[in-house]
Amino acid sequence: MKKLFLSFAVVGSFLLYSTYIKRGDLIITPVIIPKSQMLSPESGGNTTEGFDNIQNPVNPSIPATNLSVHPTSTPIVIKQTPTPVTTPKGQFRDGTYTGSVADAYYGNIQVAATFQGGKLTDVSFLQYPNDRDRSIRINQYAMPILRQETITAQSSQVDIVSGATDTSQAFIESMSSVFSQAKNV
Amino acid sequence: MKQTRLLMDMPITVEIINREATGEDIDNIFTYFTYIDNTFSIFKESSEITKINKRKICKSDYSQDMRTVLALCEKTKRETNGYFDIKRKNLLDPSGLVKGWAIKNAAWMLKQMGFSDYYIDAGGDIQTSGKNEKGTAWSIGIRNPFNRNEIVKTLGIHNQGVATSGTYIRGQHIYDPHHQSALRSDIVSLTVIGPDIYEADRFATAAFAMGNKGILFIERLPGFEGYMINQKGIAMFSSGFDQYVASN
Repeated sequence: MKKLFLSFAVVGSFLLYSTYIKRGDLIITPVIIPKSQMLSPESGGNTTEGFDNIQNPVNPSIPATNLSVHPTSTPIVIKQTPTPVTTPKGQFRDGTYTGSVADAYYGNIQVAATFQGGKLTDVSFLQYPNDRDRSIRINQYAMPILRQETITAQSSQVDIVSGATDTSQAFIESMSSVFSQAKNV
Repeated sequence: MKQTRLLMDMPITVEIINREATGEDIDNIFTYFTYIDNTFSIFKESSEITKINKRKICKSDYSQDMRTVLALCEKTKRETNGYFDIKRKNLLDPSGLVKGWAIKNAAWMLKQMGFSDYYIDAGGDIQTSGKNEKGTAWSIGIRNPFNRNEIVKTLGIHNQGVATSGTYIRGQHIYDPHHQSALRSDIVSLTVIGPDIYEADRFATAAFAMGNKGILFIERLPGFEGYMINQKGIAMFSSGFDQYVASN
């Protein structure tokens, strides 16, 4: 699952870059193709921030995607398809950049990316989580893209209620009503 | 037969469906919880844990149950990358594990007594067995953290444990062990369904301390499902959670 997170981190960077520049200026054919957009572009407009802001999308009824990525030590190289539209130079300065270190819960992720001629030409991982399960293929662990909902009151009767312990809360509620009643109006 | 008593600073309910249950059977369960309270309550001057915290007992004199619990706490701490941690400000408080452990033991006692259909609910942490009065799975509601008179989810639970960690009680008493001074207040409730209440309780405690990431931890844990509510009233739940949701 950690490798899958990395894959999404890499893909996420492209999505962020693609919103940063106009579409058509930069067409990238990544090795890994998500079935649907996994990351919200609004999660962080500043592409130099690295991958700290990757979050679950706000509106995700998105099923988990099975991606096959071999967790080898070779970097995942993102190939580019040349675009018929002239890429304005200067959108990105040529060079190799090191991303910030992001907490992937079981360890850190850090990528390095290379730009050439205004295009992203290479991405590699400087750090990825060191975990006993490293040898397990990523597609056995779906990246947890979890569903969300607004809580709503249910009308059904139940046998038992589970909640955090409530004696103190009940006491507070009760006492506050006592104080309200006792107040000299 | 059903009884509720206030023990361990919370309401504890024991209900046994099997007709042969007697008041004495239920008494025995509450006697056990009283023993647990007297041993592990940090609010009791005379408890073993208080004496340990005051350095009045040395390790070689710890009771067997205390040793067991402390060992389980260590194990849980390792399994949760330190997010389950009973040490706070140099004092030990194993209540995040003791509650589930004690309920599990008490449920085992009922099973030994020959009962098949019952539940034990200690402060919202629940272990069920068999079926309810209607002959169906026990229905468990998740309390609305913003309104204790409402439930926000109905679950059908069969021989499993359900535990909820939350901050809306006792003024946000859950701390992030990795940042001792900071309170975890971004999520208000995390309900965990597990194979038994001991497992559900310890992981609910640990996962809650992880804040928003807690539900991801539960998602990755095989055999556990979770439902997490944040302070905005948005819930996020694990991918297998739906199988427990009863249709309304």
